[in-house]
Amino acid sequence: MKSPAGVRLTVLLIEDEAAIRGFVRIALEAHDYRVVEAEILARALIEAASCKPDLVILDLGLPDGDGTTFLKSIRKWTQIPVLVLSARTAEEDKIEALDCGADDYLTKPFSVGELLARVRALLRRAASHDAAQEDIVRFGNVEVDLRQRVVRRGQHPIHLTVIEFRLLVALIASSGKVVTHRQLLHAVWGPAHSESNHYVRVYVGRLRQKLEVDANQPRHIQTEIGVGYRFVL
Amino acid sequence: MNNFELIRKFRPRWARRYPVLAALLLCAIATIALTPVATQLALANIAMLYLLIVVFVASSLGQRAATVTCFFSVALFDFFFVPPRFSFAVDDAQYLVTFAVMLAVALVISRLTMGLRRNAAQARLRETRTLELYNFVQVLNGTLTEPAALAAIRTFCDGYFSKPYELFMPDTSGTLIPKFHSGLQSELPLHAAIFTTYRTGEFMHSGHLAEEHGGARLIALKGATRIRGVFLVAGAPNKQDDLEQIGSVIATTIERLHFVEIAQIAQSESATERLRSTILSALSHDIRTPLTALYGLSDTLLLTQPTLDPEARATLVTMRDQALRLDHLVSNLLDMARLKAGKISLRSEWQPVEEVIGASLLFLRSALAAHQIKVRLAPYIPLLFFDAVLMERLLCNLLGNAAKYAPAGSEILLTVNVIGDYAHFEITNTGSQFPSGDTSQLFDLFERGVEARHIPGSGVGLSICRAIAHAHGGTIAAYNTASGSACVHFTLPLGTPPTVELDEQSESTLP
Repeated sequence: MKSPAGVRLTVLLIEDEAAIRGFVRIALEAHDYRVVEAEILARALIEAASCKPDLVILDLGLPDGDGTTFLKSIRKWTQIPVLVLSARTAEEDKIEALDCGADDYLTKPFSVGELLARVRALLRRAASHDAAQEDIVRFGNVEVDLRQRVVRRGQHPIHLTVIEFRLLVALIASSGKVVTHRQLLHAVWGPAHSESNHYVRVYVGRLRQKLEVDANQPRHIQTEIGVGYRFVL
Repeated sequence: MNNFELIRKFRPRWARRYPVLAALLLCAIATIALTPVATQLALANIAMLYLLIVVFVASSLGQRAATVTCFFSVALFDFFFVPPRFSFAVDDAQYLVTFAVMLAVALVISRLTMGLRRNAAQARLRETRTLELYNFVQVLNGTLTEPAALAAIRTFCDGYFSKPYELFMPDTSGTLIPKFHSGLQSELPLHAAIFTTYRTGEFMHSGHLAEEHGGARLIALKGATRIRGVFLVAGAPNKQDDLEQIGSVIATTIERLHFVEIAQIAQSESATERLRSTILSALSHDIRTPLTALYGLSDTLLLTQPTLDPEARATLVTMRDQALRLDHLVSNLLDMARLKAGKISLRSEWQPVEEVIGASLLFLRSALAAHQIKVRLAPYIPLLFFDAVLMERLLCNLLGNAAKYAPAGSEILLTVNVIGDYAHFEITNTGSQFPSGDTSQLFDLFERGVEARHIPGSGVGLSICRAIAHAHGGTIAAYNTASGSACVHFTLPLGTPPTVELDEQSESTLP
């Protein structure tokens, strides 16, 4: 894939298992990405600085250190999207990685289709961040005017409380990535919040009731179980 | 060595056997020895020498010999030395007073000497007993296992008590077990008395018990936290042995060993737990990595251009799906291992149930695509306290099962109701039924319904569901409804959810 300027996009692939590196590289190269590989943390940090990747795919369990060390290190100087690969049972690791600045995660085993979709979504999100923020956001039959602070569903205005609106704005701002309960608490209730995760869950439930067609099977505000939420436009 | 022992050293063996005879002989020898020199000695001095003999006899030959010596020495004094000599007659009536005083003094001296002797013997006995007890405590303190402590107790008691003894300690079920097999516990009333002592902790003596030994004494072994057992010694009450002290020494030791054991168990359990979780995560990683590669590689091949021929594609799809199935199986087994370990730490949080239901349906959307899914939730369900990841696993296993066994196009219904102190979940699928009979067996590991043999599966899913439900304090059951549908019903306790202060302030500028 090429950037709007027509340059091939570079993906830094940090994974210690050769077999997994192998098929990820094949899949990415088949879609015209340039792939730079790193097996260990030390190498990854050098490559991240020298090859200027547009996206990083990071396995959390590396032989010479934790993937979160890498995240903390690069987040000091760049906001490039990071997609984390992790095992299913390691919810704490996922949350920690996301709180350290990862944008999304994939649970092993994952299909190539899922991987490519996540990579595309993150790159698109990074590109739109550089462009001017739009005032009006649409998803499903819902229209949110961020400047006027008006939410419509079809033709009908929807009544949202202050917290609900702030939560919706936070979710929209995070669209295309995964956001943890802690990050939402921080964004909506402020850095000094004393509320627990169940506040986020209750308010997300209220938003779903107001904005989703079927609140029990939400299409836009999806639950990442044990981790947080993913807002899908 | 005290004076009494010094005196006793001059006591030949025959004298110990016939103390009275020895005393008489001693008096006779003294009289014969004194007779030639009687004219040179004053009568008072001779009387003094007889008193000395009384003291000697009293301190070495016992009470009877001493009393006999008193009378005999007065008689000898009268016959051999008081004028007229060699007759019991006396010249002067004053000598009668001398005899009376001499007899009285001799008797008093013999009594006092006897008392002193007894006290010394008791002091000596007490000293040896104290020393024995002290050594016993030393030995017991050095023991680290119950068998070693029991052996030490046995060695000590064999030397200390002349009568049979027994130690009773409760086993894990609380039954009192005799540790020394003395046979004392076989008497039925004794058994009841032992139990009473164990219950009340009171010292008991009963003449009815162990009758051939003249009764039995029972002492409860009181530890700092609770009664650790009962110690029993046959025989009548006896103030000379320190039964109370012995009991308390044994109790302290048993208690110390108990805590040593607890500490060891805790230590080995935490080591086992560490090992288990290390093995589980290593297994999880080592199995998942090749599976991820297998799954990803077959997927990559499917997406290559130009497209492969249909047969190869079909093979690849099977390969990919099998890899995925293997991954599900591994996940289930690893979860099962964690849950079975019994020490799983649930990452429970208060949360609305809609969320985990939505996530489960999203996760299973391709597997459920061929069925009509209906979700019916009670109008008001409070926040529930559960581990979201495990609850998703529970719902996915049940919904996945329903989709697997029910024919395509049939309806799968998920309902949640609040009744009593529990939230009740029901997953019903029309078009299939559980086999008749005991459906609770379906939740056993590797158990599968007879009719299910032709459908791929491992029999792990439902047993995990049960483990998860139980870990949350809920129940799970499977049954066929009256209308002929298969239904799995599970519950979660409601508890007391935290309050959420909702804001009602409007943000929207429009009415």
